[in-house]
Amino acid sequence: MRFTVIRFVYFITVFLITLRLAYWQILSADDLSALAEGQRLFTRKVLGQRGKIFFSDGSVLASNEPAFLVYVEPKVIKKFAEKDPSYLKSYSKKIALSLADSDLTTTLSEEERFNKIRSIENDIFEKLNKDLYWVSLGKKVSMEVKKKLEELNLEGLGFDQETNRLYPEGSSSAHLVGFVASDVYGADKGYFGLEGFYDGELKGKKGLLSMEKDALGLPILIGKFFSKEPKEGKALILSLDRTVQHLVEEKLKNGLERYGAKGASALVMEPKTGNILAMAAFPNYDPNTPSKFEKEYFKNPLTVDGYEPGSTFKILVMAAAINEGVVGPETICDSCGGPIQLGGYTIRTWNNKYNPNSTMTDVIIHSDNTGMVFVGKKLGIEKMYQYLTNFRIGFPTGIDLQDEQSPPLRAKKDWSEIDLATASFGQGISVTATQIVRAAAAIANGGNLLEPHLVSIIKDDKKTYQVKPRVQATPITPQTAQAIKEMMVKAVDEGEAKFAKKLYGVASYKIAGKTGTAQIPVAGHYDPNKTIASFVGFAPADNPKFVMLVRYDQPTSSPYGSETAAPTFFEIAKELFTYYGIPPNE
Amino acid sequence: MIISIRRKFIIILFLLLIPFIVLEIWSFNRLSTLGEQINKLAETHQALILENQILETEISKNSSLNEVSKKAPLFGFEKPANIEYFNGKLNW
Repeated sequence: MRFTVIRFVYFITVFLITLRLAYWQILSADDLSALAEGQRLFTRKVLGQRGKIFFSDGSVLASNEPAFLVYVEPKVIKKFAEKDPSYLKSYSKKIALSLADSDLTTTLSEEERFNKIRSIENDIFEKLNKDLYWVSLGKKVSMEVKKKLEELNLEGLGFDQETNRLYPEGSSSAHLVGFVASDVYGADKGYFGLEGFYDGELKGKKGLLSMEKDALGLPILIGKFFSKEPKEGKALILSLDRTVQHLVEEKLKNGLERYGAKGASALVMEPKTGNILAMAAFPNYDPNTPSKFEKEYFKNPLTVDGYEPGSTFKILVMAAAINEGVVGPETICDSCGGPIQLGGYTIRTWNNKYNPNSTMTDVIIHSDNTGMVFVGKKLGIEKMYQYLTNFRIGFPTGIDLQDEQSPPLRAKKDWSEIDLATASFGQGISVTATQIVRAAAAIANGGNLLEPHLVSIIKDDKKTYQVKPRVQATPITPQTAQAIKEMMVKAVDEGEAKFAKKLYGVASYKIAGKTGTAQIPVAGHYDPNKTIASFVGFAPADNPKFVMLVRYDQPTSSPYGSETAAPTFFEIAKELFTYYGIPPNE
Repeated sequence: MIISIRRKFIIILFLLLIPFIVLEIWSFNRLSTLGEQINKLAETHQALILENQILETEISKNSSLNEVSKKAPLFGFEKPANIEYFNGKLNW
């Protein structure tokens, strides 16, 4: 009997153990395997670096420098805090002292530095008191600061490697490159310029490293191992010439001060390909520290700001009229003897001088508004509108920079006689600088309207993609282009800019160009004292290597393009002739 | 006699197996504990990559045109002036 009871108890025990084993090994097998794997398996995401941007000569415009995320493990340091109540305070202070001095671009007063340290210290102290395993204390911390923090030998302090975007040229090329900052999710994202436009291509792809680790956290050689290599973002090689960019910025900056202007900008492009050689604007900002600048500095005035182009627009309208055959270079203007009354307005020349028998060439040379009104009338609203559309005025150029805008072209049905007249000399119509350069390039290259672009090659480790020139339209014939070119050469040699041409040492070069002095509309009327002074041209005229626009916003030394933008154009042109080894051709 | 041969065979087999068993245990243990060396190699690898990145950054900064244009005059470089173009005829 006793034996039977013992046997019964034995079998019940074995049965219960078997049931429990079945529960752990069969029913909970998956959960437990997953838990065990979670304990053993270490998975880490590996950042894919953002692609670099290079000038045409291979030098770096944008790259990446190592940076670190500083983190702390509050639960690890809790045991020290329990032994010493002041431990967390002193811990926070030590880190705050290093982090406060991490920004080398701003000089702080003693009081400001003290307040900054205090603020960071309080923030860290608050984070240390949280019941968390991991807390971030600082992002994008430099190598120098990381070394300082490592020397403190603090328990629970760790570093994760990140990257920071680096622009070695500083504020040079700021408007065209843009910058990288965090988006709402804390991930790096490109804003403005090339960084914004090519954000998808430049972004790297994350890799993954997964391996089994033992109880000491060391990898197990024969354990599970999986790795997916991170992929660096695509590299962009620009058509931008670093030397040309540097000299354009230097001359423009000097001009900004010399002429007392509010703003200055210049764009240099290859007329046969649409390759941008230089693009600069002031005031600018440093893309390494965008948070220190107001947002208004980020937009590129050459691709975003609309302005009334003034007399530089005359070359387009004249080209349209010659192409249409309604005028020729020697056509005499029959209404150039004095001011023109139209729609309640009086249209005068810029200097109130009138030449009754002006040819169309004279109209361009002397920048005669009354002559252009004659041309506009000959063209008519229908044809004028058609040619403006053919020149793609009112449409973005398609340049590969983020946030390009185009002022809209007023609908044809809303045009009146006065609109036709004012548009013929570049007032009452709004364009961007890039649109004017694109149109001038069409005259320079024989009639092809090309898409301007900065990137010439996009490459990754497997493929290389070459950006080819793209013809958007052919608004004029090669013969028309040649006729306008000759008029523009005469405008430089015999017009108001002739003195500047001699003075700046380019007298022996054949340069085609046109000055522009446009009044700025303010509250429904034109301010006589505020102008946009510009000069657009290309050289050498017979086989143009570059087309360039220089523009000053509200110069105070003189309102005229011939006395501000033209001299800067010739200064830059002289340097470009030397740089490209172009001998004189006149 | 037969039992003796069988016993001998078992003993010999056992004696042959022991070294293999010991070798297997030793090699698995070695493989499992090589993690520390792998870790050190991985750390060295990461440190070298980081050093490379730092050096690349220094090169980028020092070869920027702003830096080069500051240092160029110190090495005797100047802007070209008084350029003459020859038309192919040289009068010595």
